[in-house]
Amino acid sequence: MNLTCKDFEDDYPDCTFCSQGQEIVVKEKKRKYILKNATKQKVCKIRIDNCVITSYDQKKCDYLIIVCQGEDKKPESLYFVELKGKDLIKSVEQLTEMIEHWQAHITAKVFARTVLSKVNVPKTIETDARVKKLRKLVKQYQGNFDYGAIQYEKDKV
Amino acid sequence: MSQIHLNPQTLRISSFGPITELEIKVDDLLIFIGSQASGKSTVSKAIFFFKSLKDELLRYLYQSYKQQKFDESVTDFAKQAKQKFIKIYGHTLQFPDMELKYDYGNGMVTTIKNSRYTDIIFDDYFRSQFRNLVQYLQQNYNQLQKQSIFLSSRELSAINAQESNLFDTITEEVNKLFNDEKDLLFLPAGRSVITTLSQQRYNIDLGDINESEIDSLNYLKLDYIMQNFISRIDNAKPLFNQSLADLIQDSISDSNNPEYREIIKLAQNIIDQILKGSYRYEDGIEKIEFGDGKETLINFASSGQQEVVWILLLILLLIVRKRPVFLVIEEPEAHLFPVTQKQIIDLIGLLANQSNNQVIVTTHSPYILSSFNNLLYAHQLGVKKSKKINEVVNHHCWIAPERLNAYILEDGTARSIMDTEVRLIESAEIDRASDIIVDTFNQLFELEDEE
Repeated sequence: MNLTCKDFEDDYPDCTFCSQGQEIVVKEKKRKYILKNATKQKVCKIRIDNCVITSYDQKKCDYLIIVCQGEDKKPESLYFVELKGKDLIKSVEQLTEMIEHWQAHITAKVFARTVLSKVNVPKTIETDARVKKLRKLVKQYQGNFDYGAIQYEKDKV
Repeated sequence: MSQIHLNPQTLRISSFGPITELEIKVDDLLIFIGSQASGKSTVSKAIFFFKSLKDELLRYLYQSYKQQKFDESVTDFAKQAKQKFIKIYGHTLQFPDMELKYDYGNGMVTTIKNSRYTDIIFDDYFRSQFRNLVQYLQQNYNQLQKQSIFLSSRELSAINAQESNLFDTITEEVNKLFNDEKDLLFLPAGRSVITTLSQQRYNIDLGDINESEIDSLNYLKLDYIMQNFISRIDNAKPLFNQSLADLIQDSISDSNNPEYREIIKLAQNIIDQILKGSYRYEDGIEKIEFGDGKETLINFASSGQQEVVWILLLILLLIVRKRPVFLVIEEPEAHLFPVTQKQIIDLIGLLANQSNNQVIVTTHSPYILSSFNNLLYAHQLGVKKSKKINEVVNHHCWIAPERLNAYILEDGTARSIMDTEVRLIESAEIDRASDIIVDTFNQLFELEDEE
């Protein structure tokens, strides 16, 4: 399968929720990721952990959000989202493994996001080898890695 | 003489202090993190000790020559080495199963074990080389003795020259035996007290005085590492009866090598930024001068300056003298602002790149680890676009990833936190320790609004 809205809607209808709302929201406990969708494009949010992927061995993130485009065109952007308590490095590892797992099928822009619960992560964490690896990985797909606390709403479609 | 081998040396420790079992390859740059009493010092001191047996053997052979005691058995030397071990660690008989094993990378292995006593066990290779060295000394001594009856002054100076050649040869052979030719320097944690007390030093017991003569209240008992640090400082002090700038100018003017000048200028630059003044030693008084005629005595300087002044000066001297060194620095971050910590690591990178120097750093600071990552990353990228990268990080400070390893010491062992694929340190391992602090804060945060 490809990482497209259609393939997820066909193959994982129970995990895939598509809409054209102005705000695409995924949340867990108090942590919230919001994708601003002012132009009301079709966007699918796909529950990965415990839905698309159930294996314990595979490190995975919580959600994949795909900004869909017309029927035949390829998706514009992929947002891999992890809602995490406090361990930024663990989330970085999950995001990295998830993206690597699907690497062969990715042709779109890739963004990786972690939302932590109100934890102030020291800035020096960004020089960690694992963070650098993820940043490099998503850079290949014209995207980036970013993280925030409690509520992350910097992304716009 | 044949070349010194470049095989890596390895240290193995079991059942000693906080350490259950560990093995570490002694790379050119080693970084240790871990909570207090996790074994950072134990490991650093062990590597230092095993390497320092080289100097110990030289000292022993020199004494043998002077006293004409040409004993081919290693027993006396082993005793001397054991005394040194005890001076570094104190008595270690409370660890009955302890074993420290050092492989010098040329096949020679030295072991320390406890049976009834602490034993330093030298292998057959060492024993045979030891025998050869003693025999060689004796032969040369006998030969020189034969020649030296009623000599003219010219003949006497020829004999002195021969003796000095003899010890050059012995030094070379001993270096080869220990697979190392580096000077050894250990900058221990708690060094700032030495700077503070430097004016009252006559009260400090340097270990030379008989125990019974000491009014214990008036003397500070110091371990071997600290004593060694003090004597290295004492030895260097007189050099600073001139300003740092003059000292550097003297050595630069003797050299036509533009790269050497550049390196020294760079080091001087970093040191000036950190110290914000110039160290001077005059008439037994240590002070820091700030230009414009202002100065402060060292014991009234800031704690950061006291902590760092001798790290900076010793590193500078090593670079200026181009002396190959094995350097241990415990917690270079002590008392220092984050930006200064970065500058110290730049300086260490600079030092590490001279004559293949080796450096061990123990740290609790995320800034130190991140600063090392900067230098590693710069080296990786610098291979391809050296000019641009050089503008961000001076290429003399870059660190080749294959020269460095970093370990976290925990649960009685050492785990590498060097990512071999990305070739950077997993520097966040040190921040994970902050979880518990943040947890407490978050608990308080939750409770704030609770009725």
